[in-house]
Amino acid sequence: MTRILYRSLLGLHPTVFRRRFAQEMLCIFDEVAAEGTTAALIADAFVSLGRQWLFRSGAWIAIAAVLGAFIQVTVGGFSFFLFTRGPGLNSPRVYGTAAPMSPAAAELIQLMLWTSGSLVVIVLLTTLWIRNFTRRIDGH
Amino acid sequence: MQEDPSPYIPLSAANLHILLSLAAEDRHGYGIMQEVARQSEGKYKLGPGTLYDNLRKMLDTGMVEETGKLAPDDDPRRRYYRLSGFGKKVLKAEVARLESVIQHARLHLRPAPGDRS
Repeated sequence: MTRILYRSLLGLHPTVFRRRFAQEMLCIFDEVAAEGTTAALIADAFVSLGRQWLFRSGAWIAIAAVLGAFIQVTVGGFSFFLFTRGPGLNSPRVYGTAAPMSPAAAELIQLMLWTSGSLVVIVLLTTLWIRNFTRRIDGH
Repeated sequence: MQEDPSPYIPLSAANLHILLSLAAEDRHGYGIMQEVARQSEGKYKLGPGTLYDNLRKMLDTGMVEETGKLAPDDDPRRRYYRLSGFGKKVLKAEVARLESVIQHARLHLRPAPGDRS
């Protein structure tokens, strides 16, 4: 059972690392299992999984970009919502001719569009910037 | 091949132990883990995840090489590693640094003439 768990954890590692070292790690697991307990190896595999995905695979770039974008968009969105509720925005607006839209709904849609657009742009820019930055570091 | 070991100094504890374990002879992964535990008298234990994460970096920098050798009765999944020429240079530089640290420590921790402790 623990072998299946360990093997599954190895299978979740990034492809390059898995292809290169998974068989060796499984071999060590089998040797340790023959001698005693394997709990420490399971814990080590969990730590290794996090380490490989977060710090070695470059996935942290996307995670940092998304987190940064969420923080900025949340702050920006709230500021927009709190400080731009002037008479212009509250006045009734008609989108198309079919049905008039309530000011609150129009505001909500506007906010959603701004939020989605900002999220896409910020994630894109941050990913590009971090990738460029890490390339420059690797080059030195 | 790299010549200057200074960018890699000081070594992390894991790197130092792995290089030390390979200084005496070529070893496979489990052999390295056992040797590290023996050298540190059980105080420092490397898991396979930490071992191979560090081994990968050391293979990339050329400190360690894969031997490609396998004994006839060995598990075919095993791979053996050895210390490269550059790895020896890095290890020597780190040992020299540690000797200097120990000299300084001995100098400053020497008991004062009137000190009974």
